[in-house]
Amino acid sequence: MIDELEILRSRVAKLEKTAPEKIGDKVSREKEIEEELKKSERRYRAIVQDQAELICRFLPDGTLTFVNDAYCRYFGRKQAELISRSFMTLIPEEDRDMVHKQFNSLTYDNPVATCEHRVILPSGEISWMSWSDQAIFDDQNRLMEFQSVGRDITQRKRMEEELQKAKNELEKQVRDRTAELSLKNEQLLRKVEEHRQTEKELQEAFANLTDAHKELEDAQLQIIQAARMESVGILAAGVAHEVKNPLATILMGIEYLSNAASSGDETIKAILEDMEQTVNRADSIVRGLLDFSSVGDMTFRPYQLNHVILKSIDLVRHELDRKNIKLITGLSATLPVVCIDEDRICQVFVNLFLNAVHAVPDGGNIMITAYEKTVTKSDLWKCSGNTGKFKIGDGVIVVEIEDRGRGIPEDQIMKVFDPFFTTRPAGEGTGLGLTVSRSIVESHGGKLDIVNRKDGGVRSTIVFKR
Amino acid sequence: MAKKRILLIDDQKSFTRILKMNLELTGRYTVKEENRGVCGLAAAREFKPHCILLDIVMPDLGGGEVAAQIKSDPDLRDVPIIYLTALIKKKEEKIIGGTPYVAKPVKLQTLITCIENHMNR
Repeated sequence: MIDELEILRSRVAKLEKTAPEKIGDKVSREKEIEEELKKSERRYRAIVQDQAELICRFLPDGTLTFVNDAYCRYFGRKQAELISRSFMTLIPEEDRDMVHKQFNSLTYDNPVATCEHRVILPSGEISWMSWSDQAIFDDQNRLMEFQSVGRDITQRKRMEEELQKAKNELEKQVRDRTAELSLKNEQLLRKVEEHRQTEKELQEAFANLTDAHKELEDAQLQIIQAARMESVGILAAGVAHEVKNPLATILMGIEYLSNAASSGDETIKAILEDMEQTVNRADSIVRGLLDFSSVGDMTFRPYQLNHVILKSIDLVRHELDRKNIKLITGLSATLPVVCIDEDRICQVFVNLFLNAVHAVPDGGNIMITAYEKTVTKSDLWKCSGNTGKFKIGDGVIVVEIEDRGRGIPEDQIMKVFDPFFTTRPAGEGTGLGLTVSRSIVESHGGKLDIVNRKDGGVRSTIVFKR
Repeated sequence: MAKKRILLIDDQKSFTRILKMNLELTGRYTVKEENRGVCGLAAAREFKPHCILLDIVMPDLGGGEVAAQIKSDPDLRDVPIIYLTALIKKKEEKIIGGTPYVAKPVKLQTLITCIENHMNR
């Protein structure tokens, strides 16, 4: 609008120069032009005044040179109260510096900018304005004035503040919630850790229970075995009494007949010898049964196992010499003392030695070794049958008796501990030796195993707990 | 040489009869049988044996009690007693608490050796 006025003035000056008319015409013309100028000015002033936006012009020091009606209405003052005064009084002190900086930033090359700041309303209330500021320069690029067009943005600012407040509230809630979640997370992690610890403790308790259960099972088996043995013992003692008495009568009868019979009758003599052998064999079986049933009746004392082994060797020395068998010993000199029933363990060793003597040919070898060791996993795998007696890490004493004989047929090796099983010819051996031996060893908390050696012969292994 | 008197106290009549025959067949012993434990003491008092072979398990009175009765008799207390029993499992003669035990069945010669040993003590 200002620019248009400038254009009109320029056109009037041009007309004055280019129309050398008569004075009367000139005066008339000037009136027309002036009238036209007034009309134009009224038109543009009406446009400016009718604007809903606030319009003002002011000098670089802030002194207002023009304000429109909207401006006056907004600030509740008359034009005369505003013109020639600085607009800075309408701005709160804390925003004035920012407004100064805004105007100082406008240059000839960059004459337009916008800014938002607060203003003071006549009621003392604070509202927000958004201004579009333009610096105006003369022909020499000197700053003349500023023109600003503004509009109230209080509503928007309040909404923004509300939004900011809501955002802040939301952020606070997010922070609070995050903190709460962090706390919950920490509590959860603690719970998880506690759960893990509990699970670990439960696993340990379960393992302990499993061990305890196994021990209970073993104890139960031992009780059942003991009860069974007691029953067998009572039965065997009864049977022994009832069988041995008639055997005694028969043996006495055989001896009487042997003495009374004609010395020349070889047939009767042979029959009586067979009868005596049969009585002796029946007596051996009954004695074996009594041995088997009286395993629980033992006296345990601390002994050097080597001493018991050597004593047992002495008991079979005659048989070794008779077959010219060489006994190779490898007995550890540092074996600890073990609690055993010496007679019973002697009986076991003698039994195993005699089996070995029986298995090897004349002039053969029998090896006996005794050593101490700690049970490993492979030892457990090597064990046949019940391995529950020993656990990995247990300290044990091992005695091995090996022969280089013909071994035991594979289909019979599982039966060697069965009562009355024997590989010897009929009439030689009762088949109770290994049954009784295993029972004795197990009564000592140990284990007796018999396996075929890979390169021939048999290995008998006795394991005692240290 | 005078024959030694042996008293057999055992409830197995067939056993005592054949054992008596065997012992007497040697010509060294006179043998009396008694098959009831309760009559053991009376038989001993009457027979005055040099040695007594005594069964342990008898239905009316056990060998232990019969031995106690005999040992309490001043006239009999020094007579050697040998338990002859099917209860022990070893063949060999065994001495338990000072009293010899011989396990049935027993060879005649083993028994005679045991008898002679204890009569000569």
